[in-house]
Amino acid sequence: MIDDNLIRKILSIAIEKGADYADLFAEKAEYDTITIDDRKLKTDYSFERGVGIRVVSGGRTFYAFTNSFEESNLKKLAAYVRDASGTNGRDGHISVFQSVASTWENPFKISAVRAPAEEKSNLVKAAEERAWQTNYASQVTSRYRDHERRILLASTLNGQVIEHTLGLTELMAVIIVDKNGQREYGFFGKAFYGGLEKFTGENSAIKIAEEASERAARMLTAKDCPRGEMPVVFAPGENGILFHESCGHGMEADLVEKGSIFAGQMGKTVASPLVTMIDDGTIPGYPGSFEFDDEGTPSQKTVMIESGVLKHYLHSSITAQKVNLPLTGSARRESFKHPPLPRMRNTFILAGETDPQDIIKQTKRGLYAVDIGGGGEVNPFTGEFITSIKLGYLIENGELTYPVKGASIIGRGIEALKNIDLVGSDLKISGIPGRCGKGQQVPVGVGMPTVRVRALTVGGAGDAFNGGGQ
Amino acid sequence: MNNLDLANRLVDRCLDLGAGDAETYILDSESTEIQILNGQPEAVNFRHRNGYGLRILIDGRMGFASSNNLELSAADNIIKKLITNTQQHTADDHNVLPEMRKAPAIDFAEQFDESLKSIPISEKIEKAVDIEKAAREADQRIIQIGWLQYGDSVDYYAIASSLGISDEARRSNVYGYVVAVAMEMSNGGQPNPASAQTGTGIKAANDYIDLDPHKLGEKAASFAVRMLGATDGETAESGVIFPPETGYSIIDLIAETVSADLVQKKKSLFSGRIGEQVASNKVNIIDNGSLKDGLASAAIDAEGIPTGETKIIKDGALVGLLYDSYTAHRGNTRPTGNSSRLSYSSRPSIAPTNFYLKPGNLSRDSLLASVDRGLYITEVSGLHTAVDPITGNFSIPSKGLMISSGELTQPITNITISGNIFDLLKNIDGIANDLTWETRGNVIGVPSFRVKGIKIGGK
Repeated sequence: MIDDNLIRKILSIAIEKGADYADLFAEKAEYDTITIDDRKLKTDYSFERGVGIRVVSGGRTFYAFTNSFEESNLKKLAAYVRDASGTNGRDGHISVFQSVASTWENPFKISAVRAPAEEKSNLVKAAEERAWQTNYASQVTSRYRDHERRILLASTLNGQVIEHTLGLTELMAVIIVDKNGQREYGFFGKAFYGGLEKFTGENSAIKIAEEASERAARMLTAKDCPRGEMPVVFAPGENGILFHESCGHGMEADLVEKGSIFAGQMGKTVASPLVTMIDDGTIPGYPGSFEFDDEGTPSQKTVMIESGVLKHYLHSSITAQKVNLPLTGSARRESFKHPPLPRMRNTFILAGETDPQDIIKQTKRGLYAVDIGGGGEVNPFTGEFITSIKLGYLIENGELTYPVKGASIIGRGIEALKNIDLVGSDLKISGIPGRCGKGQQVPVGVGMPTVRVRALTVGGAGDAFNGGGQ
Repeated sequence: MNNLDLANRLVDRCLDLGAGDAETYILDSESTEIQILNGQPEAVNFRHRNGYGLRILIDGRMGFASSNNLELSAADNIIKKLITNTQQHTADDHNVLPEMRKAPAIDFAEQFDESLKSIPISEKIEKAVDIEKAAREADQRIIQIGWLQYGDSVDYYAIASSLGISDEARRSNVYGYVVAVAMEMSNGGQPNPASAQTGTGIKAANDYIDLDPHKLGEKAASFAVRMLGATDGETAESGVIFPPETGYSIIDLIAETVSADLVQKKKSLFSGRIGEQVASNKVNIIDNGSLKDGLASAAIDAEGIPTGETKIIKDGALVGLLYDSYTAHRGNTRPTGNSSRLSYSSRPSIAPTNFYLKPGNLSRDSLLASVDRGLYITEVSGLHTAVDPITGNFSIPSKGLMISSGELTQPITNITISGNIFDLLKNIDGIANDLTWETRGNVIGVPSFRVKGIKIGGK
């Protein structure tokens, strides 16, 4: 993409006034979307290319990007960022760059970008057709998205030039049902760091649409969720987004530095001893996986909480240097338009020992959360989080009785983590479509086994909850 | 070649390669973002986004592609791919590109601040640091700044089409965003993290000078401090007041829902409700893309259509929607100038411009005085997950201040307000005269308003 000589020239300019280090992130990317909405198919295609130059000085980031690959432009950009960083005039030292070869097996068996357009349309059509078979369906949207990003990253921090390719394929369906004026919707989707071959078997277009269809149908029979404090059992899999939101963000080191609720908690008990929380960027095929992070650090599996004790924050080179801790391979950027930040990858709670059926049986009265929808929000400084429970079941005398909808949950991250009193043996990790946002959008995976929290505040449109307890 | 010339050249190239009609939108945007941490810049980002989006029409099929490679020689590949993709589309008679309409002679030049491009970065950093200083100095219980961002942008865009549109527009914007964290002091004089409360201040303007760092910092500080000592709320049903900083969310939800596209596809709360009484007769809601000094004002929208005023809710009845050229054709009406693009790389879609709830006659104080016992909502979170976009049922995690005998008293946390959005709108029984413009994505004008009988979920 850019030859070694030019890379060296540009980065020399960037650090010649004594910055700590500089990196160059070049990218050529294609984005493709096929949507059937309101029974009409349409496509969107984007080509994006550019080069971002970062200068780090005294732990501060200075960043700029351009859509031009011309030598004169890149040199100008490097000088601009260097001058903005206001560094002090010491001679910068530039090491010899070493190419680092990719060792991961190509995750794209069938390249999304080079696949014939019909092959992708067929996935969307299959999902759409199945979705319309839902009783009372009044509107259907099915959408396929992919991207392929060819990346070149050169950094004076580690003296490496890395070239690799990131990509994602996603398929989802939304079904709106209308039963005599009662409108509800069901959503389901999957995302993979891999090619079209992923959408087969249990991840086929039909299966994805079927799940959306079932969810829509169940919504029609659900009653308003009661409100009040009650034990909540979370179904396994994509509900792991709850831990991503309520705990994960507060353990990203830049937010720790700003005083998140997990600041100063290293080595301390922040959760029930049943909880071990992992952030893993190395699981093949998942949206949060990659071989190198966007500073060139190999991705890794990071233990964030081990048996209730906080073990590791997620770092970028800037945050790790400030506290003199090792890198965690979790510095990520949305594209060449952004400098890297500490981010989560695939985040999940490890399986426990309790049979998930027993968790429900041991709950006298409470809520079983099937689908917590979009995941919610967290205030990392107070630890308060909120999430909706789009669809759940009421638990009465240890059994799921009737479906409930329209609830939300409020809590404080650490308090909720400490209140976990049962962890199931059924860990499921999901590649959910959609992105994690923190000023930049990146793909992530989430997961969890069945988990019970002893008490959470549930807000619903229904009556006040009475008779809690286990 | 300037942007408009390039736009016209790309239109010609699309026609040469087989498009029936074509449109090019070019965005040339320079922006700066500064994040501050402990009085120092943590990150400074310079962003120059420059690229084009193409829409082509072939036999009722409307294709879209974009690129930021501005070399004409590279465009042919994009256009060829676009034409192949478009042939797969479903034909739809309502796919139309707008014809040229004469824009009214509104001059928004006063609202454009090109100096944003030449103000030295050091001065902008200073302004951002002043926001932090103001917040910390406002109250000694502000013990940290969770997030502080300054941003500005100067955008130029050009639109050209084979139907005669060939126009340019420009826009400037500057904003500050700050989260102040307040804590109570423990007996030993140390801040107690378990008491932490946050206050968010957001201010956007067209002109650099109109971003006042002191007002913004003080606002965030006061919002954080007023919640210190919050106790868990109890389950109840009571009257509530939404001040502008939270009423914003309710009006914004309506702004997002009155898109003709969602209504026509039966995805909106308002589908099939045109002409119906959807709110109390005190409620009037208007969208106006030509509003003088409006942050979202521009002569033309993202399809090149002149902007104007659209009445959405009149005396409680739903009387209008926001239309682009597709939905206007489908609804057999005229586009309202509400086409918008996030960037050159996204298709145009419907969005509000300056969207507001018309203020009433009451002062804010007399609105408060009218509540004997109730809740003043200071924070609502997670609205995008808390409101069901189809049914309008909501369950919104909130914080507030108790109102007793018209006075703001005890701060309350850990509550959810729930109900249905239509019931809420119908129960609006008082609107103050303190219209305030809030900008978090959309530009929304909202005065304080009172709602009777809302379910509050707590312990």
